[in-house]
Amino acid sequence: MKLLTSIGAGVLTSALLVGSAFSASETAQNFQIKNRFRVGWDSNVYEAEKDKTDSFKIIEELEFLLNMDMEQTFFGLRYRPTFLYWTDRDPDDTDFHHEADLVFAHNFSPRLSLNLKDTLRIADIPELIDRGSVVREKDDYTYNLLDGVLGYRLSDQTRVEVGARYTVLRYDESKISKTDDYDIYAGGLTLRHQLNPDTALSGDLRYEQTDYKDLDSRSSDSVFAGAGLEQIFSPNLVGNFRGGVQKKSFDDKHIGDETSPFGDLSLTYLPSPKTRITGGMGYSLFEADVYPFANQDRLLGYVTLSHDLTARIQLFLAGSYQNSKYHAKQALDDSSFTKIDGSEDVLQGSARLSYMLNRKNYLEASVQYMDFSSDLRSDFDRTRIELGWRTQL
Amino acid sequence: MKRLSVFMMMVAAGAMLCASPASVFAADKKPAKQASPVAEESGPITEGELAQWLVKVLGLSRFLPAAPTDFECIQILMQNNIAPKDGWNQDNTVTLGNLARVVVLALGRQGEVENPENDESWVNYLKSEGIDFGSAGEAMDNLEPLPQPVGPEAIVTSTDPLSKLSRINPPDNQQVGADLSTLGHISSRVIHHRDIPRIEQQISRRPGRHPKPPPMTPTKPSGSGSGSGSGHGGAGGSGSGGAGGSGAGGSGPGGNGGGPGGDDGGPNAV
Repeated sequence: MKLLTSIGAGVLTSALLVGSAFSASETAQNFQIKNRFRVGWDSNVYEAEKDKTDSFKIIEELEFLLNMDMEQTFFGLRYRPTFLYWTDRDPDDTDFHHEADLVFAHNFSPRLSLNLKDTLRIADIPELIDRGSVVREKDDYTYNLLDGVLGYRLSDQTRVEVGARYTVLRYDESKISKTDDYDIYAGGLTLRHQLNPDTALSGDLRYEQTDYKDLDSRSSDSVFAGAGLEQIFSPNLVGNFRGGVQKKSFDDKHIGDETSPFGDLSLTYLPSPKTRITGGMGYSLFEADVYPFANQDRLLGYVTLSHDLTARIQLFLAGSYQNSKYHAKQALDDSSFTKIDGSEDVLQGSARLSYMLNRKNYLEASVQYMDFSSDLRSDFDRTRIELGWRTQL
Repeated sequence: MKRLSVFMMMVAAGAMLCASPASVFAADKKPAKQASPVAEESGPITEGELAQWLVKVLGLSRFLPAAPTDFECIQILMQNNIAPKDGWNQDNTVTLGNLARVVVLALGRQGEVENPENDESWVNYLKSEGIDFGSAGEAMDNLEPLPQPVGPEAIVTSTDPLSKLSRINPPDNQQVGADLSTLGHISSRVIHHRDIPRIEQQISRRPGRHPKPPPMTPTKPSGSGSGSGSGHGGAGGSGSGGAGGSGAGGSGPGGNGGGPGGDDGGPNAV
C-alpha cells in the first residue's frame, strides 16, 4: 500500500511538473517548483538510550509554491510532500509526509483587512520495531491549524485586531488517539499603537480552550492578558517583547486552576552586512507532551546565525534549549500511573553550509545534534549528517 | 491515512493545475494594470507597507502569524538579509534607490552590484538586467519566493495562543535550513508506556515502607532488566522487553534509584 501511495504521488507530481512546464516561463513569479534531495546518516534511528541503531537515509522533498496577487488580495499556496527511505529501519523503511500552507489576505478598504492562514500537516510515522519488540508506537497523524485575523485601522497610529484560531490534531492509531487527539479554539483582541517610528506598544486579551477529544479530564481553558513592545533600537538591531499573566483552568477538578506569568522576546542583530543573528526566549504554560500530565511549564530559548562566507557560500548555525517541567499535581487520575514530578531538557544544535552553484542550484551539507534527558522518558542523543542538492525547477 | 495522503495529493495537484492557467492570465494582464496593494495609484508607499508585501511575495508568510505587524515583517526580512540602505523605518516613504536595493537583495544578486554605497548603482544594475520599474508594484513583479528562506520554522518562542507554534511538527523540520526536529509528538515515547505505569503503580501502593540500607556488595549487576531491583533497568525488565530491547527502559520514571521506587529497592522487588 505504501508503495502504491508513493507511486501515486510520483505520478501526480510528475503530472504537475509537466502541466506546469507550459506556463512556468510566463508565470515564474507566480508558480515555482523546488526540489530538495538529500542523503544522510542518522546515528540513532529509534531514539534509544543504549544499543543505538544507525541508518543511512534518502530524503526527497518536492515543493510547489503558488503566489497570486490581485488588486486588493493576495493568495499563496505551498505544498511539500516528503519521501524518506531508510536503509536500516525494520520493518518499515519508508515514510511519506505532507505539508501544505495557505495564505489569504484581502484589503476591504485602506482601513479594514482580513488575513487567513491554514497550515496542514500529515505525517506518516510508522511503528518501529527493533528485534521483535515495539520501541515506538505508530503515530501517523493529521494536523490542521486555521488562523483568521480581521484588522481595522482606527488611525494612522492605532490598529485593532480580532483574531481566531482553530487547531485540530488526530492520530490514526486508536490507542494514541484516546489520550492525545485534541481541538484547540483560541480567540483574542489586540490593540496596537505606534508610539513613534521606532516603537510600538500593544495590549491583548486571549482566550484558549483545549479539548481532548476522548479525554475530557485532560482539557483546559486559559485566559491571557498581555502587553507587548516592538522596538527598532538601531538599523542593525530590532527586538520585541510580550508578557503578561495566564490563568489556566483544568477540567479535571482535582487539578484546579493555575495562574502563571508568561513572556517571550526575540532580537535580531546584524553585526555586519554579511551576518545575521537572531535569538529568543519564551516561557508559558503549554500543552503537555507526556501523558497523563495535563500541562507543562515550558521554557524555550534559541540562537541562530547566518553568515555569508563568500558571495556563494553561506553558513547557518542554530542552537536551542527547551526545559519542560511537569508537576505531579497536574497529572490526571489514572489508575495506571503514579503522580510524580518530572523535568525534561532538550538541547539541539545544527550547522549547515550552502554553496550556490547558480541562481537555481545549491549544494548543502549539514549536521544536527540533539540531546534529550528526561525524568519521565528515556534519555537519548542523536546525530544526523546530510548532504543535499536544492534546485528550482 | 494512505487514502487521505493520496486525496491530499490530488487536491493539491488539482489546485495547482487550475491555478496555473489563472496566473498565466494574470501575468498577461499585468502590463496593463499592476495588481498589488502597493500599486502606484495608492500613492507613495511606506517601508512598512513594502515589508508587508515583500514577506508575502518572498514566501515568508508561513513563518509569521496570520496578520503580522510591520515590525514582524521587518524582522524576518532582516533575517533574510533584506533591508534598505539605512535600515527599516516603517513610516519612511520608499525611495527608488531603496526599492532597487531591496529588490536586488531579494533576488540574491547583491554581489553583482559594483558600487553598493551608491543608490544609483542598484537602480542601474536592475536596468542592466532588463528589470525596469517605475513603481513598487512593477518591481514586485520580478520577485519570487526565496530559494533558501530563513525563518523560525522549528523553534518559535511565542507564547501567544494566536501565533505560537504548535508542539506538533513534521519530522526533520528546519531552523535556518538545518533540520531540528522537535520532540512534541508521540514518536518520542521511546518507552512503551504501558510498562512504566504498571511499575509506578506497584511502587505507589507500598506506603509506609522505609528504605533498606543498600547492600555493601551488589548481588546482581544493575540495569540487567531482570528485575534485580536496583532501579536502573527496572523498567526494561517489566516484561515486554519493548523498551528494554533498545535499552531505553533504563531511565524511565522510577527507573533510577532516585525515583519513587528507588527506596524500595526497585520496582521488581515487589
